Amino acid sequence: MSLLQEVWQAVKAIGTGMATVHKRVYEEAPTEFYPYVKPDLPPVSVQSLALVENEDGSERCIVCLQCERACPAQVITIERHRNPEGKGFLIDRFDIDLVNCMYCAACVEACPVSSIVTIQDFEMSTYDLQTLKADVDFLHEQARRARQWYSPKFGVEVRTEDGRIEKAPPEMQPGGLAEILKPAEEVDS
Amino acid sequence: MSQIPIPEDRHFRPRLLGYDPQKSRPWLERTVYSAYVFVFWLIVIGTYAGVPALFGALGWDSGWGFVLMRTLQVVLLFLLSAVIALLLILLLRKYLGKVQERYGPMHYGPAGGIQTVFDALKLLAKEDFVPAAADVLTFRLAPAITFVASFAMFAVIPFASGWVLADTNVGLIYLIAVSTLSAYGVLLGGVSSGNKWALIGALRAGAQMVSYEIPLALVFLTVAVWSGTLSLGGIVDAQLGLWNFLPLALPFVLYVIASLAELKHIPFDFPEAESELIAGYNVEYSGMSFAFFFLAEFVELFLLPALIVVFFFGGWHGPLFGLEPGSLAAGALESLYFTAKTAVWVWIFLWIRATLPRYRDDQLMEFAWKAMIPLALFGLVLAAYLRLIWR
Repeated sequence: MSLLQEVWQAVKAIGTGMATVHKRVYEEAPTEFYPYVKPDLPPVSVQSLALVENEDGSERCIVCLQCERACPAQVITIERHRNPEGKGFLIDRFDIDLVNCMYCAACVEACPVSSIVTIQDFEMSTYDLQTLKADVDFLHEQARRARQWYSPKFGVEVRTEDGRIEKAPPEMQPGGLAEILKPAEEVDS
Repeated sequence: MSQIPIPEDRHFRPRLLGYDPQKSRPWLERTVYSAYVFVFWLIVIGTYAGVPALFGALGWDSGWGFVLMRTLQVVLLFLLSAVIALLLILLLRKYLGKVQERYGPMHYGPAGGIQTVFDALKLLAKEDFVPAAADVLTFRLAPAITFVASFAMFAVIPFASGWVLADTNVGLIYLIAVSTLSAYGVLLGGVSSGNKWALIGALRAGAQMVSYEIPLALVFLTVAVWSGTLSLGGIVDAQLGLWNFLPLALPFVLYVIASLAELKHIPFDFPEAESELIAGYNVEYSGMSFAFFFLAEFVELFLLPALIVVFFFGGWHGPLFGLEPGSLAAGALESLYFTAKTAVWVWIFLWIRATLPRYRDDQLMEFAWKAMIPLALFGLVLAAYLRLIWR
């Protein structure tokens, strides 16, 4: 009897396996078509740096040099002069050496106005390293191109349909903000 | 959320070749496969109805004209085997891709449909390298033997009633002889390569194929005993009332298992076990020599399921919708039935290949000698007994 039982178990196992395999045929493949379709990276993914402008196009950076001081790799070089009409400083030079940058985002944490941000543009490979010595125009351009960005201080911001920058909904915020907020809402209601 | 477009000049972007990956278009794949099957069908009709009709109209159907006609038919069958190999390799890659939750080839042609054509062209253009340690004559001969042994099985396969090159009354014995011959090609190819992986693969192939020929031949005998004929056309004709897979259930199961081993197919792919032996007996082959091994494998992947259909599933039988038997339309319809039944069995073989892991070598031999052969003998005796009391 035990031989027949073994045969039956083998047949049953093969049948179960083949049924499982057949189910997989109808499931959609999770393949990413990277060169054709750019993947939607999560906001916490640190791929490159950018310098945000205000909504009206004026400079958001107040040139306080906090990021230059915070940078452990010392890749940020800033030169400034005092604003002749009013208070504060204006940028002469704002360079980030993206080759030697280690993408720790310490500058992002240090920034008091959330001007320098991390973005999700990872297509920075190049034959010429000089193209990765980013100047202020390049950093502004990167920020304009970025669809959404992340700052630990202000959370994730998104660009709306009409071009304004708004705080993203809790589902998009990092650090489980949605899960933290959910019990509070349930208690209120 | 709107995305500012990325400037085109900043980054290299490959061109989109024939397929928009964001759109899932299964109808396109089905169209490609249907086109291949249609070409297959056209070649079958041309081989078995077109060429004889042409030569009959010209009055060349005797003497040297007959030889010329048969030669032309064989050339067309070679074309058919190439189409079979192209289609089956594509189907295998696509099906394994779907099972493993990825896409198969999809960049060349609609839905990757002509990827295998490009592969074949690549193999044609590659250097046919002979290693220094190889025995040149045997090394060159082995792929030819393997392919010819598989290709020669076409001679007795009936695609429809009367659509067969040689409807001999010893068709089964011819099949046993020819299918055993392909083991020689594999064995010689592995031994003459001068490579240890190839040698181990060839030894395994020899042991495995010789062992599994025995239950295969016993199943052939069982079918012959049950049908009362050795001719394949006669076997199909004998199944008019009842297809053989019901009365011959045990030999049928044994045949499926033994043909998996004969095909060197998973779960019995020891001769070319990629993870152990790299590629086994064909590890030193490149270019067209390798292509012939490959062609032989995929022609067999068509022919052994075709034999399942001939032996157990009524061959070309199916509803004819009032068409006159023997006419061209009836023959075309019958060959379509035959192709469809074979396609189902090819799919089941691919399904088995996608599911099962590899067996162990000693278990394989143990299974052949301790289980398959006694069961095949038992099936033979049972079929003979049933035949005596039933018919």
